Amino acid sequence: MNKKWKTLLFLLPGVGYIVFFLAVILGFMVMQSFGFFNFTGESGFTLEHWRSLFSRQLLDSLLFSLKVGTVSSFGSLVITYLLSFAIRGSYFRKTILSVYKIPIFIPALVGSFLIINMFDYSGIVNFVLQALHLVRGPVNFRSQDSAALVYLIQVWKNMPFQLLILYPAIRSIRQDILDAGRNLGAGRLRLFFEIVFPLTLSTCLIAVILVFIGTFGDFAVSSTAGPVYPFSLSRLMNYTAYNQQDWGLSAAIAVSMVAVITALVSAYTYLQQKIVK
Amino acid sequence: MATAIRIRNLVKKYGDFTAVDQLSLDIAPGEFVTLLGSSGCGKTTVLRTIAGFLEADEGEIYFGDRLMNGVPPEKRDVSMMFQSYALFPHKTVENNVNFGLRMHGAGREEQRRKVEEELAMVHLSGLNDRKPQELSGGQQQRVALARAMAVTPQVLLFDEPLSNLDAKLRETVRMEIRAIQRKYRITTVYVTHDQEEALSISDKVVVMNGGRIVQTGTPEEIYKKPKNSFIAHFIGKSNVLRVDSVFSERGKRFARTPIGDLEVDSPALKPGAGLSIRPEDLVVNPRGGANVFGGRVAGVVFLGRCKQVSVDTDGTEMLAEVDKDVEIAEGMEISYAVPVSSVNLLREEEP
Amino acid sequence: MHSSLRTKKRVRKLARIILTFSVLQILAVTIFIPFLYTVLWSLVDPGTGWSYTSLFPRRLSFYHWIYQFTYTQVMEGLLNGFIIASWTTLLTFLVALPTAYALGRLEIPGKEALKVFVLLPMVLPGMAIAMFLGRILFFLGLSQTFAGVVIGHIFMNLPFMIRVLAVSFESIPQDVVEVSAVLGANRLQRLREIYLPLIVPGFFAAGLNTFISSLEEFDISFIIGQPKIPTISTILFASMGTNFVKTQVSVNSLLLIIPNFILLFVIERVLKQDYLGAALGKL
Repeated sequence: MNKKWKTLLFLLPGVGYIVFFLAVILGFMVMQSFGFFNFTGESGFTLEHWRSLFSRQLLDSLLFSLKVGTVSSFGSLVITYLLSFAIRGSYFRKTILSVYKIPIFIPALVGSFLIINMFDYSGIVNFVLQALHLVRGPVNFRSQDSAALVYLIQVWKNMPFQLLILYPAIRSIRQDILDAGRNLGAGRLRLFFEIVFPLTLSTCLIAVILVFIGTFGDFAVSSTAGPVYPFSLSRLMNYTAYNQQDWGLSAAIAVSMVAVITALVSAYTYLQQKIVK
Repeated sequence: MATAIRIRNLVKKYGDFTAVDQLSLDIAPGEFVTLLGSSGCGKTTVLRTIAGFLEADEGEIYFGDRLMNGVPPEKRDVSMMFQSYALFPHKTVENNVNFGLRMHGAGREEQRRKVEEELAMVHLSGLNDRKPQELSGGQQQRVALARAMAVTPQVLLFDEPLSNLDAKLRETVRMEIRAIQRKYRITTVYVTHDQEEALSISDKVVVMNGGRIVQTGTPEEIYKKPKNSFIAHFIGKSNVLRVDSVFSERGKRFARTPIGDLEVDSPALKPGAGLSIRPEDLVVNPRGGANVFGGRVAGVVFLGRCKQVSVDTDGTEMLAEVDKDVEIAEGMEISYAVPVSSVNLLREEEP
Repeated sequence: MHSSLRTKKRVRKLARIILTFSVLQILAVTIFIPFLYTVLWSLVDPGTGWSYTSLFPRRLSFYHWIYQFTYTQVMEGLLNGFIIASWTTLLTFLVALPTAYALGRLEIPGKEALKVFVLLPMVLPGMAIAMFLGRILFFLGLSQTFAGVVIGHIFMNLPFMIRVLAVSFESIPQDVVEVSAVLGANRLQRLREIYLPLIVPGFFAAGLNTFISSLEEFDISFIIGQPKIPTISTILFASMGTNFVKTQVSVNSLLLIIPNFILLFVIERVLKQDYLGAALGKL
């Protein structure tokens, strides 16, 4: 009996803090989305906010955020694998790996600016392009409609993180298993899909999920470097609450985002179990 | 189907260290050749060069008439069995065995048929859906063999495949490997440091040391006629005697050695050479004959199948063997005979 | 026969070198150049400027740095950031400590599930948490206070702190603890002599990480702290409107990165063990 209480007591501060605030925040979100705690009008159960979710604007934002999530996570993944193979036997391996870690430590907001700065009208990218006579006048990378910069920034920032966890996994594959594969006739591509990828699947999964979730819910990058339309879901949620004073709808958006993320985390857990088996 | 392998002046260096030094070797089609030597002698390097994982610094390798230098491993028609088996941990036995077939584009039906055939050959039918982790060491080894054989290779390479098995299993499996090789007549190169293994299964044994071939021959030749004292001591046990001087008497040639005058039947006998005699050839307490010497028993070791006796003859220790039931003990004075036919002249200096 | 083989080998070696070189080039371009470019922009001399026709600014000066510190809230932002980060790190550590001990050394049914659960704050969208926590704090009168921001930061940093400390606790060999007990150490002494010293590396790693996280944190500082409590992140965000002044924004960005580089060096040099990898790898 004593042991049980001791355990509970010890767990209380950390777990308790998290549970408490999670419950309060999520609870509040859900309540607001159903019309309660309405500070700007009447409080009462309503499905109106949820119905408003199915608007053009919201679906566009949802699509946008999903796109950003997918491109960032899978794009980074491809580059990570390619880079891992490129530096596998290289002399400068250690330097490359330490330097490549840098973007992980750079806050998203700063990363966003560093890249925007380069791609600006008077930025270095335009300078080089014009100097090489590849274009006649400066290119508008920061076009109002283009999300290209967002993709670039997210890959720039997140690929190093994937490299950080995926590279050791790739390195840990025993050389003789790769030799056996080659011996039996597998070329580079087949070696990858038959052996390297399956054996790194578990790490690959976490790399993709973490980056997807992070970029899906991003506010800073899409606000500073993103297109005028559509907003990312986080930005839309923020705009709906603060600019349109519609906290109910904003809460509905928030709950939807949480739902999507929960679904993804469940899918991840399920897939991990399958892999372990 | 089997190919001949020709290696010409192979050189492989790692920085300043020369792993293989001007090695030339011919392997006939269907021959079972073992590269024998201790760690670091270069045998694995040679094997991996044949497989294509290493590129020679100098020298050529031919499979039949085809020059193999520069050909990557996946394009060579060789199959390798690794010391650690290197089974794909994430694939079932079935998918391990049919891997090579899939890489070569074989159809589903052919894959299935071949897998059944190979598993039957190694007595593992029915284990198709198991994963390597669920199998014992011996079973994993057989799956590795089945996988290597499934692609009907021209050349089979073995990299110390039995070193992770216990002694009893080793004997059984090496016989099976030999039987399979005999049946299909595949040119085989086998690497090991275990001499008993080498002698029992090979058509030809190549003893290596320091990146070079020291002696090539059939197991019998290597054992009975070692070329120098290195081989004499490396393979089994030997008594090695130095020839101080040579003389003739009554039409027979004699060598004066530290234990006495030894009759030797070899025209090339000369002072300074070495003679090797296997302990089991010495006849203890003989009933007369040539080359009889005496001495005091310095030690007796019971080996199970026999007793090993060390005899001090004039300060030189000789090893002999007696039957396991013979009563013999330290301190006894015994005599022994060295049959003329079992004296081997060491033709070379030790490398 | 020989010469063609040798050529092949040389070609392969050359290809390797070119590959390494290209990777280094890409590295330089993608990591160093953005950084360098911004540094140059922060050092542009106001008199001569930097026209878009030249590769480098003609003259460098610290003018904009001085300007930012003198005429904007940057100084206040830095100070606020440090205060918030310090409190966050300390409190997160204290709250996480017992929980980490429990997860690291006590038997708990469903421990693995609990460990994953604890990571939830890291996974939920930061802006959503900031907004709705902010709303609640608003009604508790804690909006735009240090306390409010710190409460939010603790929430976001607890998962990592718990994770790393739990790993530290787990790695303390049980027999060391038992020996100390046998030699007469009571609970408090064991805590002081055995547990705390052995988790110092873990605390160092997680603490430093929490401190930096808190300094550069944006969503919560923006929603809950603004406008009374500016931090460098919020200042940076504010200065990045559609017509931003490059020089100004460059200085702000660099101010935000500098603590990170210190962290990077410290982690690579001082810490011998790979706590970051261990903590993340076990996800």
